[in-house]
Amino acid sequence: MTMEKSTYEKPVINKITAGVPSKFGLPVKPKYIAAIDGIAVSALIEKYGSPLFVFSEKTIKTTYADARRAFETRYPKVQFAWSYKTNYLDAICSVFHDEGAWAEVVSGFEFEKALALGVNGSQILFNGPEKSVEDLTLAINHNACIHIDHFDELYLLIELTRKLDKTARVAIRVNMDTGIYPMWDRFGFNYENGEAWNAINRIMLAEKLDLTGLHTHIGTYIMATTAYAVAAAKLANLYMAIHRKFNYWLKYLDLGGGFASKNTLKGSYMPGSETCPSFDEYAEAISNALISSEIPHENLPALFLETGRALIDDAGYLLTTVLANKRLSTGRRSMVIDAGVNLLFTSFWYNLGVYTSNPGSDQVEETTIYGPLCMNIDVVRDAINFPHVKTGDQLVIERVGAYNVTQWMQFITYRPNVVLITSNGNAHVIRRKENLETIKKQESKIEK
Amino acid sequence: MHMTDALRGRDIMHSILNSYSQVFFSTSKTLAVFLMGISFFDYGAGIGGLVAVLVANLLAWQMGYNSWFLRSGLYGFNALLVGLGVGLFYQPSLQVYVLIIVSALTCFFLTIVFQGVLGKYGLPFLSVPFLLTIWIVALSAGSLSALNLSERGIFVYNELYSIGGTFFVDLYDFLEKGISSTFIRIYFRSLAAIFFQTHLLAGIIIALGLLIYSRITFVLSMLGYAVAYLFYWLAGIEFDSLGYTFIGFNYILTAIALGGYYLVPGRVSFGWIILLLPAVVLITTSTQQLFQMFRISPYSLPFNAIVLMFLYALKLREQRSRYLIETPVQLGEPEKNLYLYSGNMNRFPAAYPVSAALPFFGEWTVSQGHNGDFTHKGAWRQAWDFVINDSGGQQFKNEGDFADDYYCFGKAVLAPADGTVAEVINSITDNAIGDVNTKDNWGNTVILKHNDFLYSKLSHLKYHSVEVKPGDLVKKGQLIARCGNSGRSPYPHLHFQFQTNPYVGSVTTDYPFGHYLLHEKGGYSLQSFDFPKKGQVLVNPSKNEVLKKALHFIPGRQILVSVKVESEKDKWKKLEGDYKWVTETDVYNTTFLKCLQTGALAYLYNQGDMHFFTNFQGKKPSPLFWLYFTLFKVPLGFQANSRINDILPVHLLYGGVLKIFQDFVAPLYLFLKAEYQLVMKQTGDVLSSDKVQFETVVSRKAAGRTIDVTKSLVYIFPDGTFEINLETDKAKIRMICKNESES
Repeated sequence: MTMEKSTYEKPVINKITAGVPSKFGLPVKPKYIAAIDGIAVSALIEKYGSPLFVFSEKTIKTTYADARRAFETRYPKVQFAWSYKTNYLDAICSVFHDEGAWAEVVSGFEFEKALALGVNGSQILFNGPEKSVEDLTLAINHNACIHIDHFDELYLLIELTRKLDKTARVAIRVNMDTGIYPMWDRFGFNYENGEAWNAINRIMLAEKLDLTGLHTHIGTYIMATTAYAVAAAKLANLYMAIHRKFNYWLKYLDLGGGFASKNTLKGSYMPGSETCPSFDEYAEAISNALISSEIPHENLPALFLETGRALIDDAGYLLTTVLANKRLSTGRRSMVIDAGVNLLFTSFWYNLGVYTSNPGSDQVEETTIYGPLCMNIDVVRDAINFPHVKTGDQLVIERVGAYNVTQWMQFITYRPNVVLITSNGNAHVIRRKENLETIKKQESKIEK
Repeated sequence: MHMTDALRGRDIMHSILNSYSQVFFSTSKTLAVFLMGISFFDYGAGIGGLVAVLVANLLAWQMGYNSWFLRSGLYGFNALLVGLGVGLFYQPSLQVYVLIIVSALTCFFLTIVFQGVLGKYGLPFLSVPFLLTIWIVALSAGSLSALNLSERGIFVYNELYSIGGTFFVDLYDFLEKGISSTFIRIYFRSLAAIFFQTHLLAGIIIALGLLIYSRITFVLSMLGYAVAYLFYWLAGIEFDSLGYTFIGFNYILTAIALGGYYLVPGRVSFGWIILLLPAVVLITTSTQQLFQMFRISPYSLPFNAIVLMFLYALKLREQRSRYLIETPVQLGEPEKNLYLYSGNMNRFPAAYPVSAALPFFGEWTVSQGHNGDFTHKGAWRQAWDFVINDSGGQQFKNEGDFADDYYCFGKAVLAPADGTVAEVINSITDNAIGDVNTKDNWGNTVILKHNDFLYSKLSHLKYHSVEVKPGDLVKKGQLIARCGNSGRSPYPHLHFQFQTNPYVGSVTTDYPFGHYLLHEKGGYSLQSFDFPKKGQVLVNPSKNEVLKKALHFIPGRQILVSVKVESEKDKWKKLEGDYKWVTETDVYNTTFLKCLQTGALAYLYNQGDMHFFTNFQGKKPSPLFWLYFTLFKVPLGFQANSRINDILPVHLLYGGVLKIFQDFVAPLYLFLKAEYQLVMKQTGDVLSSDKVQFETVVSRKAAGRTIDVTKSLVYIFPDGTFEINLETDKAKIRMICKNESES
């Protein structure tokens, strides 16, 4: 039996933090992620290149099942609508649609994308402040649920439905004080000052508008479940007011999204995985508020949820490779990896979890992780206790499923492959790596 | 005008004919003609019977009694028997017919009285009115000196010759000599005795009529008679007496009534006939002794006594009856009753008056079912425990050390059906995990009263979570409390049981849940009035407004049907065209669709959560019949890929020799089967704004082998329109059923 030669490790100077072990006990070995759904990180990079986005269908499905169970065991009629802007890769959207989710879109582009995926127009919720005449025409013709954002959109809809001689299914977006700061009053009609009630009355009297529901979206990354209870109670009040005045039951209340994922917001003291509410907690707050409202139980409306982030964040990983290790002028350790803020928009909000793919050293040093861009803003982590890695080592950034593959930039370099590992454990490319052709196809030179 | 006259003429004819066949609990016109015919073998009796029927029916009509009873002959058959008896007893004369009219009148009012009195107990009046009337007449016989006793029956050949010439005489001779077996002779004579006839021939004709009307009835008449005969022999009773007292018909009628008419025929009902018939024999022999003192016959007393006692005793059963099921809706023919109910008793509301929903939202798992391993034992065996499992099959998150870790803890508990709160316990604290409170065994509990004999109990509720108080009226699906961990509950779960009284600690009763979806691999299957088993994952079906609207057949709703047929065969091709169906309701509140072109009727029932077609009468194949079997059972709720299985009644899908053969053995074994399956494909959506699509498959099977399969693809649109695309091996049929607008 031959002894294996131990790997060389650069010497590190660490401040000795003397004293008794904290309540968390003794330091533990840093976490590492060697494989995703059974496929080794190295194998994935070898086959699909670095950097590489990897999604786990298994995680999507279990997360979705958890969310459904949380709501469906508390409320009689629940419908999730997949928030396209969170991640509109066809393969990802299809997983949600196959599990029964509707589509929630905020632009004509997203609307078209949903239609192209085979989503029935009547199962699309059309949100957002920007809806052109063409977009609205498309939505009316497909019998989508149009969530009206402002009076000008309402007037446009009245005009359009008359012109097309078709009835549009509409809801209004309501903004309200739920005790959350900042209050998102830039979207929709305000509850407290009576604007929402005013809009409802106008719609109820409009010939060709069929008011089917009420929508609200109180903010993003909301960590107080009580805010949802307040929102649900206020929508329930409007729902009953409509019934009293018009003897009419709306069909749904849409509580929007904004559920926090397990990521840790910058500036927070405790990790997100410890502090963010679970689906159960959100569901408890919303369902209780609706069930204990004055709505008779036979007339409880369907509950729509547009949560995106909390459903997909955990399912996405970004695999990346170490390009260089560096000492800054202060002596602080830093390193450069091949994925930067061009791919990780969420790194502006979160302290993303970055891990090695091998059980390396348990000696860690505070490190700054830079992306590959020739731009000063390209910082993936300001400060992270990280073990020493070598050039070419492969790292895994977790919880990057939401917003990154939609808000990523084609900036300085191409965008990489995106892979989905299906429930049966096979990896498939679901978005091909860009190349010069991708870019040039859209451009044209002025001929002289 | 002409129309109403014709209708009245038909009603009169029905009321008269049915008065004859009703003696055998039938409304068969063929049987009626046979019976009427033999009643005139003795013209005095024949005329007497007819006069009595006319008197009774005229009274019922003039005095405004129920026209349906009148038409079905229920007011006339007792009077008929009285008329036959009196007519036979005396020489025809004016006085005799006055006596017949007077006794028919007496008998009619006795009919009304006994219908009222016995009806309150849900019992038929049978031939009790006849019995009392005939005794009144018989006991007065000695005083009626103006009437002459009949001498007929003594000169048999003369009478036969006067009816049917030499042919009848020869036939009579042939039968008298040809049939030498006492057993068979007495059987025919006993049958004939029901119509006060002494001739063998009359018995043979009645037997033939019974055979044509119903094979099961015929078999039962033989069975009842044979068992009695055997008992006579075993007990050493002199059976020659059967020959001249004609009392043997009691055995035949008892067997027909209990074996196949008032109870759904089956092995068990046949078995009970064997057990009961000796008792009828004993009552017969003993009452004969008693009545001899007055020089009258007990007539049908033994039959009436046994049938009424047995039916009444059955009604007092407390537990759900699995066997000896009282015919919920009388179809008037044992075969039909059997075929309709053999598939699935549970289809019928009469079987289970309360349709209970699962008392929770979402998918829960049965952790302990009836006769469970832990606590559902003995008198408390018919109960369920429910919990929530995650996708990994765990009941809790984290380590499960705290009640809050359990998914079911704190979840809403709902009223399973409308009712009144009978009992509330709300102040027992929840246990720590693993601990049990055996002092307050049931923990926090709500007991709801659904009807006089059905209560539901929900236990181990969360401390101070009950939101109702005793006396409150609750609606199905209303939140009443939260799932907890109080009482004898080591970990959070919901205990649910049905019981027959309002006390905590009461024993359980065997009662099922109404309609629920059972989670299966790749979908759901809908279970109706069934008992969830351990490990099953269940969810309530949610309502779909499109289905609810389309399947809501309000009286007056008119449907225009256009039928297109692609087929080589003329049989199918000629059904192409336009039809109109109207929805109507009869006196029993039964709703049915009536085809104005064919006159066919499709009876239906809508329980609020389920649509059933319960029966079909009329021309087959026809568009309404296609509708009947494609929409045989459709839930008003939806769930993608949910599945329903049911059994269609044999008599509606089979005919000919095969069916006649099946009739004979039906109570023992059904080798013909027509299976129905519905699969929800596109299920509409949670807002019910889209069309619903489902597929139904009807497979006809003989002894397990598939004969043929009819598939249909059905679309139901939000405006209530049905599109049915039917496919058999012989034809492709497309039906569009549109509501007629109210213009």
